[in-house]
Amino acid sequence: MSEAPLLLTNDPGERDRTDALLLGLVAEGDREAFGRLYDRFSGPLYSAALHILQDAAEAQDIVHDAFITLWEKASSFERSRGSAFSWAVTLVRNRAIDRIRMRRRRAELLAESAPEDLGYGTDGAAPSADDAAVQGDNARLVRAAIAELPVEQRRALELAFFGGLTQEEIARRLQEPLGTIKARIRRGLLKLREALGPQL
Amino acid sequence: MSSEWREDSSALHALGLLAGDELARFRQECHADPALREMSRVLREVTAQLVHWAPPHSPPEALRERLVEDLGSRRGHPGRPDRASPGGAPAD
Repeated sequence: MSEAPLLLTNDPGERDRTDALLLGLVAEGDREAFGRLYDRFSGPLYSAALHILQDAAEAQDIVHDAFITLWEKASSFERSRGSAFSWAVTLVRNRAIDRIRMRRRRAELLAESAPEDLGYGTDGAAPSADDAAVQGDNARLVRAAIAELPVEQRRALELAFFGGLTQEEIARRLQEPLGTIKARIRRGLLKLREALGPQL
Repeated sequence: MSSEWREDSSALHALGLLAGDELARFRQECHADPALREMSRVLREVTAQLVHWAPPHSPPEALRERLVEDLGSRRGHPGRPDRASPGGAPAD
């Protein structure tokens, strides 16, 4: 594996280029590159899966399956369509949300098993400063940007991203019109785009 | 197609909240509109960053070991030769 381009950096563009390079090497069957990618992605992916599922064993299964998919499908990755990291997030999140939706269907307790019962809280509060300190610079930047959002936008994004609720389910849960929920999600993501823009 | 529709749809799509006719229409518009595709791409990148909102946890070492074991039993990639040494594993 070529070492020269794999610089440790907090520059988002450089980070994405390094991820893409590693994934390209994975596509060639480079297991060392796969290990590097695992080290770069597994923390946030596992954290998100655990937050969605609230079950460590299931979260491990999901992350495991996602990395196997990255290994098997690396050659189909096209950087022009998005970053390697966003692809990995999509793999994990889709699987995790499929599982919680299966749980709900199985239990026929959709309303009762939504996120606030899974320990997410109801105020959409930003994570603590202590938590943020554990993460790298990028995570801190993201958390700071999220903390700047109005609470109603954070709540809608939280229910959508971690709760796996549909637009209609979010509207019912928050007792707001569907159009209001769409607007909150749009405004929330656009504000985050402004805050994180230079790195996207 | 209003700018609000473009932004709404891109945001909802990034979160996986479009389905049925809404999703079909968005895909159709994206196919024909590079600017909409780019907005969609950027909002997907923004959405991916939301993983950092989750309280941070390190995956257990057992997860890495399981992956090492599973890859060790695979002979390279489908349709590709395995250029790693036999039983090779992800590096630290």
